[in-house]
Amino acid sequence: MNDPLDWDELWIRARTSRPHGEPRSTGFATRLHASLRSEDSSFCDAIANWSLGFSCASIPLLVALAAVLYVQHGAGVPAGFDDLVWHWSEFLPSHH
Amino acid sequence: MFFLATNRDHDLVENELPESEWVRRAAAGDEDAFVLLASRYRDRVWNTASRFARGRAELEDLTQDLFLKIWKGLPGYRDDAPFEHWVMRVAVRGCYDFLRKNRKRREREILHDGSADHSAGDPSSHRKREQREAWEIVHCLLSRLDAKDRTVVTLLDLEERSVREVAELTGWSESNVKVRAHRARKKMRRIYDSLEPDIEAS
Repeated sequence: MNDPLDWDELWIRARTSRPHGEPRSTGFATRLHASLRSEDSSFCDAIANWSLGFSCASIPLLVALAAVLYVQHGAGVPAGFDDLVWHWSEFLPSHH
Repeated sequence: MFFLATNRDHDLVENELPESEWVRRAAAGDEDAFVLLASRYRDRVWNTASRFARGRAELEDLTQDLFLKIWKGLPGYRDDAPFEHWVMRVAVRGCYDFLRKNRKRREREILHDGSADHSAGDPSSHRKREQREAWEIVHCLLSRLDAKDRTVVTLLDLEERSVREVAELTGWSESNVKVRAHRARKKMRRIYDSLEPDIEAS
């Protein structure tokens, strides 16, 4: 089979190629400053992501806690639970 | 007038202070110091990243991402190695991460894919066209490799770095680099031989 392009020559040419040209001569500093600023503002995003992750991670724990309570107290509502609900419901705004 | 004077003063300060001082300031959170450092290393990072990116727009994004990685990593920089080495190490590892994240997309790349940016080359220049074609073939061959092999071959055969340098930049052992390079070159040669009719036809 004929070699359309010598293997070594292929690499020499590829090596000397600048396929995407040179970097733009202007605007680099401005773009980088903007990127750094957007990185700073993403601190809030990081907190939000962490909060979401924490909430998601808590779900299995809450389910496990509910299961434990259910096993401990049988199918019934834990004693004192209704008192607790009544106590806090007194703080709700009343229409009377 | 004031603006000109300020710029001149800034240039004087830039030339007077050693690089380590700019690094120290940047590591302490001084954005201006970091941008100045980044401007110095922009061409080197750009050239290395250009071997990994598919088009100019992707390359610009990748370069920005690499400088953000460098910025974030600066507080952890210890001056036991030259700053340039550290910058290039972060850049190369960033390029490797970029390849890994885009693995699925790159597997779909084909020879002479239409998304390649041809505008950077001068179509009237025969030599440039030859280089461009060679680059596209090599890029296609590289896209068939996994991220590690591709990183090794790119650094060894396109960047012309030594095995030792590649090992330092990537954090992989020299023997690992050698084995990967040998295996990857064989695989690329095999693919190239199987592509020959396509290349001839194109």
